Amino acid sequence: MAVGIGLRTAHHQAWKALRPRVDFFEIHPENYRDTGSAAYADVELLRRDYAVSLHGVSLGLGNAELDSRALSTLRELTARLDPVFVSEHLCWTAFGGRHFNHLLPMPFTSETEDRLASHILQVQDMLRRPLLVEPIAAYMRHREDDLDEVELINNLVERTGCGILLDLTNLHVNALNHGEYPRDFLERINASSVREVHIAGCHLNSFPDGEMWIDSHDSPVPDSVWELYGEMLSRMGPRPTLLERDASFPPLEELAAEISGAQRRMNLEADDVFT
Amino acid sequence: MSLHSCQEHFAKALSMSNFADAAAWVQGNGLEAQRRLWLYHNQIHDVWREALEITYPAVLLLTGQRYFRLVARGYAESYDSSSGNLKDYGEYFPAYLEGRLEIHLYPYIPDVARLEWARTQSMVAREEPAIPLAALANIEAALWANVRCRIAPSLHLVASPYPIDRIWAAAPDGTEPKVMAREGLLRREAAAVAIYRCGHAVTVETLQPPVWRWLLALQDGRCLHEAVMLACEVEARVGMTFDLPGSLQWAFDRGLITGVEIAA
Repeated sequence: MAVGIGLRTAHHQAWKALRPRVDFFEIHPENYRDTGSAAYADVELLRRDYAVSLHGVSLGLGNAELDSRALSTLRELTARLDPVFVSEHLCWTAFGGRHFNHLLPMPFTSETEDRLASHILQVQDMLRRPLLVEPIAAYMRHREDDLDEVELINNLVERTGCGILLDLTNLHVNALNHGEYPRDFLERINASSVREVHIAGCHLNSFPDGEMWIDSHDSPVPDSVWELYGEMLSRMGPRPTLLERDASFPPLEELAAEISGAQRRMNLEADDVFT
Repeated sequence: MSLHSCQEHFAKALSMSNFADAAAWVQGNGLEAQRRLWLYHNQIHDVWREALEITYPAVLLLTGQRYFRLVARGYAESYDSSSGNLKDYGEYFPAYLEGRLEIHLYPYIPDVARLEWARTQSMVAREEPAIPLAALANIEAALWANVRCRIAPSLHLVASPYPIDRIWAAAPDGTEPKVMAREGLLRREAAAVAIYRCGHAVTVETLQPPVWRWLLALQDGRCLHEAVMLACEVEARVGMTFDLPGSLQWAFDRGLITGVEIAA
């Protein structure tokens, strides 16, 4: 089962020298909007030896309208790179023409479900392939919520045929920030639709009135997320797993060593199946 | 509350830094609702500031972290982000810097910012195959005056009354503005700069003003004859000779000409 690393600018040259033993690299399509650029030429080079996944951050599935420029970039890169996965976040990013360049949480309501379903179908119709949707790390929940997150996601899967990108660090952070139960999430989520897993680092911010876990992607994956990873494996079986790192970048070989931990755990799980 | 209202409340709170009614629509869950929105507000501003730092590293070095944070905050309050792509975020930063009152102490900084924006744009510009100088040989000499050149999309031309080329080059060494002033870097000495990409590398090259004017005219779609006339106007003003064959050779050698056509 495949493991991968998010390709960020910091490692654009390093992968060529190191040729890490991973199966795929994830890229943000937004960084390669200009397909005539030198950075994009690098990705085409990378694609000769590795599978690539596209992980968008600016489509705005929860916006009133999808971002048309992000959509056309996604279409072009999907056609050019034949990615192994195409994914986006279940969030909104802009309102009234103002962009926040952040993944903002949606209220969990039937109106939200309708909007997300309609936009997911629009993207899938255009790409002619299923989109994977990622539930985000959220630092607040709306008072309007009348569904729970798992229910909303499962409904989306049923209505659109989309897949799920399960980010275990988001799950961990949300559990700690909102008193939710990640094991309950793993138990109830439509497991057969989970096509990819993300893991990343996080940290705790303390304030005078309390604490908040931040999905910071700036440190190694903590033990608590690895524990959740084990739990996910035993419930769902091995899934393609990607390590995300977006700040305080270590050398690429360190990231390759870190994600090999996921491969080891998946191998052990596979052995268990046969013994 | 409808989804539209939810997002409107959220957007308004983030834009106006006003979280007074947050508790009405945000669950506390052990932390003040306002704190939760502040966190988003601060993260968004951090992301925007980091985008500016990536695009404008020399401006950051010249102004120092503290001042840069201040102007980054001011920029965010003055200009809405109009794109989901952070690469577009800093487009108006040079103009914003120019409008700040205190900038008269460092009047060259907005132009250094223009150079850096051009550099970023050059980096992501479409690659077009260059043509060789020999392509001109296929055109009858009598028609040369009417030749229009297609210019490589990565070429950007920036001019300033300050030596922004040297200031920009000195910034990564940590050369402080005071030192630059002592060494004469900041005396009023105009710079005409070409920024272009060759493969992965972006080059920042200082041009003689007539060559810069000639190239700008070609980039604007003027034919060769008109471009030469404009270069000669500058030549007379600055007392530098414009060398057409040499300039053509230079532009072709650097892959800046990607096509030629005869103007009707």
